[in-house]
Amino acid sequence: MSWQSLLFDIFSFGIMLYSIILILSYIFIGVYSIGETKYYLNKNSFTDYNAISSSSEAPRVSIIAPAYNEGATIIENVRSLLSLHYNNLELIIVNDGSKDDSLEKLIAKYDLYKTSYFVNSQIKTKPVKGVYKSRKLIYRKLIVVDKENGGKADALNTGINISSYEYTVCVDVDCILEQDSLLKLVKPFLENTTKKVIATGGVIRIANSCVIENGRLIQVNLPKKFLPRVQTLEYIRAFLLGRMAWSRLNGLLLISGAFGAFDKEIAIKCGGYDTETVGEDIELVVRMRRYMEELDLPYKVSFIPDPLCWTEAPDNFKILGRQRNRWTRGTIETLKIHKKMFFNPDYGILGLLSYPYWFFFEFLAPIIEFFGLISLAFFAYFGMINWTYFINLLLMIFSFGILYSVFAILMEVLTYNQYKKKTELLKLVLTAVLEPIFFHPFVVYSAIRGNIDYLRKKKSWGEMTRTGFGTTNKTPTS
Amino acid sequence: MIQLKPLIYLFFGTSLVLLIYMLIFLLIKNIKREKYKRWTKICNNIINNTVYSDDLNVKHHHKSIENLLLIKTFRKLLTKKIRSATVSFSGNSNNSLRKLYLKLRLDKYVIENLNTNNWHVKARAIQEIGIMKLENMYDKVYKNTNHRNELVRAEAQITIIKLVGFKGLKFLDSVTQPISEWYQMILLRELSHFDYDSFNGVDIWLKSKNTSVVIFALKLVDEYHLFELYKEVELCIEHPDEKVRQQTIRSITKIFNTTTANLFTSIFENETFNNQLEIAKALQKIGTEDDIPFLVHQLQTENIELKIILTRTIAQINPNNFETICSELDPDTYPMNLIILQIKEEITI
Repeated sequence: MSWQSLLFDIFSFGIMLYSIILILSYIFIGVYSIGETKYYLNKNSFTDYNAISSSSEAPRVSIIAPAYNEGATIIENVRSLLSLHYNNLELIIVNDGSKDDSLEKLIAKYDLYKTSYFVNSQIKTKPVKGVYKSRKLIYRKLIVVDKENGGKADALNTGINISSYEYTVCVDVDCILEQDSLLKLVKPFLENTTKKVIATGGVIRIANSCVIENGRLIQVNLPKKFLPRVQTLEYIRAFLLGRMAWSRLNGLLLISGAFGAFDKEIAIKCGGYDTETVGEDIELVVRMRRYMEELDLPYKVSFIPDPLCWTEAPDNFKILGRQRNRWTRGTIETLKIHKKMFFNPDYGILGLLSYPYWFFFEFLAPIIEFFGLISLAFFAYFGMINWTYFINLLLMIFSFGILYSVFAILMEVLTYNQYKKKTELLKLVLTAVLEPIFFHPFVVYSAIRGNIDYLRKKKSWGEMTRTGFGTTNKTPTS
Repeated sequence: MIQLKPLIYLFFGTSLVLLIYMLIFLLIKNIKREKYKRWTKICNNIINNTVYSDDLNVKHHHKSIENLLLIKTFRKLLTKKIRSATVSFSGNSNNSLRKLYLKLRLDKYVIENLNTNNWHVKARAIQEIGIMKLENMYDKVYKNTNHRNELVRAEAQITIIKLVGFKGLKFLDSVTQPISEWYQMILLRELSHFDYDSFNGVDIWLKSKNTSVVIFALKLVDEYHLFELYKEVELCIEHPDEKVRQQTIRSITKIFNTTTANLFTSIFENETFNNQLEIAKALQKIGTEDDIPFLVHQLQTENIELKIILTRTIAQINPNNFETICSELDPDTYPMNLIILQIKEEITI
């Protein structure tokens, strides 16, 4: 047996084994999520959310919304956040050193004055230049913080320092929230009797092509453009299947940075958001979980399948590429920071299942795919490829991809059925067919770029990252 | 080598089956929607006649009602409509709707559902009993107040309150399963629909082994200002559970007497940080000038969050004299200089 054929056998076996495990994981996730969603929907049909909105016993919540150069829409966005159905609430807008007139607009619109607010810097942040409150009683919930630019994580940490309530809800200021989203997000904190709920999250949906008026979602439409549409499908898969299954296992690692609630005490004890990573949302959840595991405290990260938050997805490859590149770097950084947990039984599900899953199927998948392609070219050069078998393998993976997407669409139809027009459903199915051909390769490419960027920045890590945060046009979102 | 073709067929085939299932589901849903529209019209008509004309003669208006009631989906729809209308209306309309429910013999199905092992069907049946005030089913519901399924148990507890008001709280004598904060909130809301009548048992619940029962009992003390239970509540301040002690601090503040502030200051140093914050906040409401030296002394803490709350408490106890007291608070050093500035601004607004 030549070394080439030995290498080929190892390669074929490795790829096959990886594919089988990956497919089995997806099947497990898909099937396992059904129970959790069904349980939630049945239970939720009994829920009267007015109980929280009207009760003085409702937990007190601080919404933290970082803003960087959002002058064009800031007034509208703040109005939308102020109109949420919730009583025990304070809204903290953190102006992260905007170069535009965001602050001036807020001061004028909400009749703000600079207070002598003492910032208790429990988490170290860039300096706060001023804390503003409104003279008008109707805006008493609003606090505007003006600070030096330090990036999204730094802005969120400042918000946590300022907040006076026990739960913090971190939200991207340009997101559209459902009116009852806070009520739904907060409920899990009140429900658990045996485990402390440390964080909760809900489904993020794509708002492109939807009708939005006065900061409110009026009509849901499937995005007209291909890129946002394929991301809609991606989000349905990720949220309705992936996160629901991980939530049921109590192994959820990620609460989206666009809209998530945290127990403030635990978040502070963990040191708040890490400003050295671009994946601050996943990193915080992992750190909070790690903290609870190390103290051996029973806890849960909760997730609900209700669509709570609508966000605009990138509609061109340039911005999408940047986003995916950032997500990849965030994942690598988080996995690296918490490598101690890898297959470490001391961390339970987190160490034995969640971390390895993210390592093998979120971080390694694009790398394996990329090197698979290179190896394919190599073995093809030596004439060792059985093309019929190779095409069958591709077809198998392609067919499974379609099956998983169709299953996600079915779950969407059976549960929330947001896209009611017949053509929308057809387009969504068609998108499921086209995605592996036209979208997936780009995602792999962006992930590889993310890996390369990560390795490059590793040499001069801290400074470059901070400069990157400071020079971006928008506070990074994830 | 693994044979891939069967897998390809399997995946494509399953996708196709799922797609067909989805289409059939949507088609049936569409057909049902038309039928439901018709049925909804009938249901609304029946309910409107009941509410606005007090006309319970359903057969007179809808001759086919008996046949329709044999169809499970129609029955479920009508029950749901009556249920939600009963929640929305009060007084005579509410009574008429309940009479209608009984006249249509919808209650016999509730017993079937109550006996099922399907938790959400059982919970729904219990909820229905509460809304329709089917008092004859009290015992059957009561049995479920300690059910192992949280939803069934909670709905049973809520229903018992709906049926008999404050007397229904006797389930707290025996409940061993925890009552979540969420359901405690719902129970308090249910109780608020009844005129307050004195109720017994709180002293026993304050000693319960179930900490959630103790917390709920403390909330009752808080909500209904049960001054007569001061001594029993005071004992809870030594409870081993931090959350119970925290609720005790909150509740005893509502029924405080001249000794309460002293009680707080005596336990302060041995309490957890969260409970120290709670005590400091409580003293904002019940503290007197006598407590100020104690509070000033506690300002030596390294914890800034506690410093802020303590300073606020001092200011709120005597806002007019705060300026004078400030000289004792180390007003020229960080962070007290900034904290004092903030608190001064707070009390002047």
